[in-house]
Amino acid sequence: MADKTELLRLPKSDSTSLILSEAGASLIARGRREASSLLLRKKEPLCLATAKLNGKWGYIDQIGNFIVEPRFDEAFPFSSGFAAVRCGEKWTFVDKTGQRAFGTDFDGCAPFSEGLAGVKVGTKWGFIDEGGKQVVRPLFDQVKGFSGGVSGVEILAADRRKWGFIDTTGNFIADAQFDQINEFSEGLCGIELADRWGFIDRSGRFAVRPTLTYSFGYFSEGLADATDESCSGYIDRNGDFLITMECEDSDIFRGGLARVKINGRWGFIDKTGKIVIAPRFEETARFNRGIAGAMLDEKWGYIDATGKYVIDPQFDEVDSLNGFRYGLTSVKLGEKWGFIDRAGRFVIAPRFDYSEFDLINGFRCGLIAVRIEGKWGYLDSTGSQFISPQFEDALAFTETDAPSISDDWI
Amino acid sequence: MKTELECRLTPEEEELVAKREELARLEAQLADQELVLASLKAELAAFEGLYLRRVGVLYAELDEWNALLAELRAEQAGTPEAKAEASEARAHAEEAYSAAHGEAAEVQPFSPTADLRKLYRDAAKRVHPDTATDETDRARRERLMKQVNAAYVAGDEDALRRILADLDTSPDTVQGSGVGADLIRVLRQLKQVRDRRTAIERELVALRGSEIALLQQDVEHARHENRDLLAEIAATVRGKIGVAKREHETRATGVKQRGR
Repeated sequence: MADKTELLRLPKSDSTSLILSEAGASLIARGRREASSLLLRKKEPLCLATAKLNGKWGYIDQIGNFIVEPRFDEAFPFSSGFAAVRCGEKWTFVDKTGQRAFGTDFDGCAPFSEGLAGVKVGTKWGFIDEGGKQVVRPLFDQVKGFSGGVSGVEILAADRRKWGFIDTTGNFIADAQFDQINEFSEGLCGIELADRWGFIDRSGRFAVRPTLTYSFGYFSEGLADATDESCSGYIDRNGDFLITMECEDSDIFRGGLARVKINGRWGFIDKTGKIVIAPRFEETARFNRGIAGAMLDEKWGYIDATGKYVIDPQFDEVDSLNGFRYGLTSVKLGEKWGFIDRAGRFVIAPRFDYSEFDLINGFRCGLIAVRIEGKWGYLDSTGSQFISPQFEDALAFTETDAPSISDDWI
Repeated sequence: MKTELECRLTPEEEELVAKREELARLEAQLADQELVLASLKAELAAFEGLYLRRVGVLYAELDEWNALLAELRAEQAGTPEAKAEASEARAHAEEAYSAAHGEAAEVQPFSPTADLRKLYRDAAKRVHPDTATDETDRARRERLMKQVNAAYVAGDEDALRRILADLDTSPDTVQGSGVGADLIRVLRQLKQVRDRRTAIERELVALRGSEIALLQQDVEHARHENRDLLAEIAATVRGKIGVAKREHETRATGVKQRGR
């Protein structure tokens, strides 16, 4: 490095290279790239992913650095700022620095939701708060997790499993009497009682009495599919049929449209029950940001809300779970999966087997886990290698402070 | 009859007066610009020192681990390509070490006082090489300007005062005579000062757009959000060192096991 006095001499030219040596400039450029990346990413919520190295799981940031060193036998994604991890037979929660969140070990842990997490003590589940304090005694055989202050809980009695609902103090708001329950959707929860489906609200009262012979059991856009002894169609939150129709199968509404199967073919209805896309497809996916996967002659393409193909049918499979995220969706061409944009162009060429990328979660926090030459890394939505393949296994990134994403496939 | 003695200036003399006034004005502005430039350079040098001490040393450590890894790979593979990569990685690590542990890393924070700034401005105005009258004068001024810059960046007010005092008594400060010659000299000085001002502007623009300045801006920007960006970068690099260390350990263990 040159003498500083010399560096500060008056230049004869307008060159500025006299401040740094080449190596110093390189060190600064590296720091600047890191800084830009940190500033950019910090604007977004902190996202961490679980990754496995040398047989143990830890948590990596979006640069690929282990924020929590790999030392767990099992590690669940972060939600609400905590993650459940297993060492040997025991489970506990860690915070975003990897520190044990509470002093207690458990026999099982479920994600935090609304400040409470299900924990298994012995063979029974109860709930703790974010301070690790037990708020609901471990009395249940299974728990769902709180939504709107209510959680489904299962009790095994006389060889019969029944679901009920408790509040955050552990008091039952609806007795354990249901054979099946779903998650809450739009404030109501689908339940099955004596072979009939209905919906309860968060006070435990029946919003729709269990008289339906079948329902998918989820409200979406104010309607739920329903079939009773006399008709099929869609009910409102009071259980009144707003749409009645003859069809073989139906699905929830997305973007004002719902899939219906008539005479062996799929089409779409609007919320008045009018068929807006004639049932001519062998299979369809739900609408996602204005387009939906639709299959003709055993090839998938994408249609718009008028039913017109905007991406010609050419793919052997499509991702009907995640649809387009970060402008991309995965499709299978021949034997391999790749990613196309909304114009149907391959951004990431079809080169992955089913088990070589995270088909279940797709892109999360802008990245997707992929396996390349036996090691897992991550690609960004331009198809660039964002975190080089280096892990034995790797799962999706999740926002550490967001609620659990386990049920967002609905 | 009352007569007044009138001393009319010749057109040449009038022009010389006007040009000297213009030169004085531009010299004052030039001194201000030199102060801005010297301050920016000193500030960036100080920031560079801080960066190298907090982050640069970690990059050097990372490069060392990467070089060790490359050497281990070369040992295992034994191919010319692997050996070339190892050699390159080693050279890179040595460069990074020199940069991170060199003199630049020793530069301390720069915070000039108002007195120091004023002294620098006065001294720069007096000794500026671009107001030289001939090459000998320029050489002398360049030497003095180096001393002024060094004193400024070292925060040495006494040194600047000594330079100014010496200038006051120096016979070199006496100007030559003759209106024509003076006018030519002043016109030449004016051109030099204007050229230097343009050069300073260019240099300031380039400096403010340099990587180190942009990094400093990022750090400042983050500071307003109560973030220590240098600490964040350091943590990131430490993470990378951890990964490189682990890979090195894994490979080294593999080599030992195969060797048994």
